[in-house]
Amino acid sequence: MTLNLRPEDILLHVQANSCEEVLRLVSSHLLEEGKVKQSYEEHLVDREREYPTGLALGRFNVAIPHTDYQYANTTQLLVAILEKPVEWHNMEDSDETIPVRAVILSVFDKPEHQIEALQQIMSVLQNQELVARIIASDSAQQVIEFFD
Amino acid sequence: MEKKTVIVCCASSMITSTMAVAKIKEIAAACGAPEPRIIQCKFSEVQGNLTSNHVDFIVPTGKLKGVETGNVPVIKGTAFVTGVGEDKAKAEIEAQLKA
Repeated sequence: MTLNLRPEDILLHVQANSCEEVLRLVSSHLLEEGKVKQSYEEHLVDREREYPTGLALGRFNVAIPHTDYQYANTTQLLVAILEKPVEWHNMEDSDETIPVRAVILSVFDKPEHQIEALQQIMSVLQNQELVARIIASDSAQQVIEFFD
Repeated sequence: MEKKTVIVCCASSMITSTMAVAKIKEIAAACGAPEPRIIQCKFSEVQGNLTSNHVDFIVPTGKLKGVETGNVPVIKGTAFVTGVGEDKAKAEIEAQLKA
């Protein structure tokens, strides 16, 4: 399986002040494209509140928000590179927040697609050098190539 | 070495716990311990599973909140998702599997 990344869903220089703002922004982007259902946004925000997805990876932290498959119409990734870091709750300890610069949203409409996708995403994210280059990318195409 | 029973748990979609389950099986095979019986569940089901099973240790991939684990050891499994601190988590799991 290859990760499905599309240039129109690689968002660079995203301006947001909170994790929730990022989640609402990416949800409405996907809703406009018809890739998720109306209810996606609320489920994504609620799930993040209860089970945060910020990953403390070192110098550059990443968040991997997701919600259940029923609310999506497709299987793909959305990448949002934030203009400035946003405080995100840590998956390991939800009482803690970490500054996040990149958000990798895994959208999936079949549960069996999810695990393999996440493993592939993590193999990229575990390489801090690569994460740094993804964050510094100035085109969608560049970001896609880093995930290849 | 006796076969252990492990609860591996995560938030809801069974994704991060599945990543941890794969690692635990790998660790068991690599260190020659018997493959443990794995109870994979959601955080919300941990308490019930603790009551109805003899559990040797728990590996949550996030913070276990509001669960009374008593003297059952808890080993953070987030490292199996992020790769950060993975060697330490592996060593802890190996020690529990061989205990």
